[in-house]
Amino acid sequence: MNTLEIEALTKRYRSGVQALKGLSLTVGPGVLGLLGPNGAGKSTLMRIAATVMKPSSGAVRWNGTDIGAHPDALRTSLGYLPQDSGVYPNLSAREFLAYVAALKGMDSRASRLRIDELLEQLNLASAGNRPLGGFSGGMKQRVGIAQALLNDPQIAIVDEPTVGLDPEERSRFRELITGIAGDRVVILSTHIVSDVETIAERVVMIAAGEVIADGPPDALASHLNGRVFEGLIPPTELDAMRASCTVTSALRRRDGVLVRLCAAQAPAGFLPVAPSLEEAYLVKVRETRVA
Amino acid sequence: MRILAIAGADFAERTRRFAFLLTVAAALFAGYLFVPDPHAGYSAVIMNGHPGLYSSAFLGTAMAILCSTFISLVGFFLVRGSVERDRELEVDGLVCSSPVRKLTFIFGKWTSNLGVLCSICAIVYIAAIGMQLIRAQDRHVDLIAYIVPYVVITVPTMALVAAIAIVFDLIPFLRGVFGGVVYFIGVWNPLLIVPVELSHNMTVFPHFDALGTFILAWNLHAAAVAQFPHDRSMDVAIGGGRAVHPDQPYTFLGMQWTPSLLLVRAGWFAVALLVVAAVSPLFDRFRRDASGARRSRFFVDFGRLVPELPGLRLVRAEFVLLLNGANVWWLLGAVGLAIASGVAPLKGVETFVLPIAFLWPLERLSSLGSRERRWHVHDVLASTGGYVRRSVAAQCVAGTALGSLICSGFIVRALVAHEPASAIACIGVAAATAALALALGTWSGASRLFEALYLIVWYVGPINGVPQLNYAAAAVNAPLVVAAVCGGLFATGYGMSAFKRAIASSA
Repeated sequence: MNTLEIEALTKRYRSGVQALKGLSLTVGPGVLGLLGPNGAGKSTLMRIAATVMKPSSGAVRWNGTDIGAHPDALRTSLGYLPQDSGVYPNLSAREFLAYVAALKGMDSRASRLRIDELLEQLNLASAGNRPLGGFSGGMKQRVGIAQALLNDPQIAIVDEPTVGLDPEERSRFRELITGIAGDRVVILSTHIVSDVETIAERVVMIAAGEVIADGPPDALASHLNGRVFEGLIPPTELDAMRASCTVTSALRRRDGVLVRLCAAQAPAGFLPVAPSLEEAYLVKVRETRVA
Repeated sequence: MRILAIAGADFAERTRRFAFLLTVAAALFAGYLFVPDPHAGYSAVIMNGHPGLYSSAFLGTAMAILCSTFISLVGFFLVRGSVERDRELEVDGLVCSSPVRKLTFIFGKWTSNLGVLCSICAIVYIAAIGMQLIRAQDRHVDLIAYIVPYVVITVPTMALVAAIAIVFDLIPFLRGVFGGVVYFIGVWNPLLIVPVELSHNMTVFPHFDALGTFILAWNLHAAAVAQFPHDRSMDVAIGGGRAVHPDQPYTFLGMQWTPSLLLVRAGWFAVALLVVAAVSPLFDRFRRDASGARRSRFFVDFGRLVPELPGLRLVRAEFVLLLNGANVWWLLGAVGLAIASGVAPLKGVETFVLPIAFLWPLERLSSLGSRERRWHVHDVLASTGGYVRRSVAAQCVAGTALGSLICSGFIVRALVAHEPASAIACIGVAAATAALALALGTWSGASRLFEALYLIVWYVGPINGVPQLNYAAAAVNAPLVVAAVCGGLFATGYGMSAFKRAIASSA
């Protein structure tokens, strides 16, 4: 069984910023969603796990092999989509993917078939021979996703993969990831909680370089059972409500503002509702900040 | 196969750029210039005052000489930075996380460098074939006479240049403009000069003729002496000169490709391979260990040093941007040159201080015109009011101010001595340099074109003292001419930059 073990990982940059503070995690097959605010250390963790960056201390093991000492043990099985991934603007999608396939050491005939397959799955088949410089941001992102999945990876590390994708393409991506998961390890970092909620079997929330919550999405959300309420208030009362409770959403309607909030007791006129993962995330991050 | 796949993608990425089309055009034009009309007043390769008869044997050999001499210089600037470009295009993460070996990746880059250089040389040779037919001194085209010098001389030379470009890519302090100066003065120049110095020793010099230039020139010279034996001097002119006997061309029947010569050239190709293999461990695989920009101990915060200038906020901002990233040693050098240009003896200023002072801002100015694209801020800037007019003016003024400050001692000295023309000439050189840096950066989208051209002009003019290009001496001795020429160059550079930005903003 494929396993990625992250043990007491720390990363201190030369600028003095401590991005990771002894973070430990064991990741098995399936999709793991990584949630956290900006600067939480998600991308640093992803880079170290993808062998692009060295940790200050701690270790990452892929199926028991320390990837710090033997990075190729992971690289041969890895599909990685960095957060700030680029392309060669004068190559076509097909040529660029063939280039990445060569970097990954793939057989040229097998890579050609796989490229066709991925371009089809990512709705890029008709644009496959056009220069990448003319692609929209979303199309380039889909090429990035294609390169990550090119070698049919045993472990896929994808950082903000749905940035720039329209709702239809996001849905297509979710299906793709769900389809490949199986006995593979997929680590997906995103700000879009709904993406994680629908495809991840396990969610890890990190803040300030530490794990603040870890579990299945529904279990994380269920921690707030009986503490999330919904009610309609006049717009003038919204600021006061924000000051007294953790407001997780405020939807303006013609008859007022439909507010969802987290509180120990329901304010007058509010009814209990089922908590969402997004609410669990917001509450957890705020609690961590206060602590 | 993996090396070829990496090289193929890199080669395709480079050769599909608009800038490569310009390079092809320049190579064709070079082929045209290298084969001038017999009455054009100059010849590209002259032996004891005689041009060569334009046969395939002569032109194949001449093109090998000219490619080895000039494309070994210009080509270096064209192909360098291939590793760093992956970082700029943000494909570094993909390379780093892949299992590709350092040696494989670096050999892929070298192969791509070699492909680009050999393509450019091939275009020059093809242009020469065309020119042979046009000049019609000998209409019989012998392709072998072109192919053999190309394979035996040009390819190993370009392999070496491609390898040196890789070395300069992998050693951090050689990546920037400083590396360009080091290559120009410390590598290319010795490669040309060493065989000349050794040419009295025929058993040694072919082995040290890395560029292959003098082995060929030696043979051409022998052919000229055989036909005009009254002159046995060793007067060899390569690159353009006036033939004393333009109507008495010598006929070159072809090179004697001896086994030892072939072995020497194969040896230089092998040296190139060894150099690439030796430096490939220096490749860091694009591993990231820094968090954003890191300020060194010698960082100077120019944003604090430069005073607020009422009404010139944009110029001040551009000036600070130009200086941004320079360290304290660069600043101390600039201050030292400003002082020396004011107090050193005038002869020393003319021959030493001003030439260095004119080169000193090169590293800073070379980012003009290309940094907006490089740092992906072009669209943000282009959406601001009056961008084209304001940015071009502010960048030219900031660049002029920087160049002028480095020569400020000389400018003050000239004004005190009631020689305002010299002061104006010096400011004119600074202005023309800034405007040309901006124009070439804007049009090419990179800093290398300006770096290469400026270095060549600087080397030929102020350093080697070729009168037509020695603007350092002329700023002292013929200031009005310099001021007028620089005014024209400034207007051209300014206009080219504004035109290109106007097109880009309205596209």
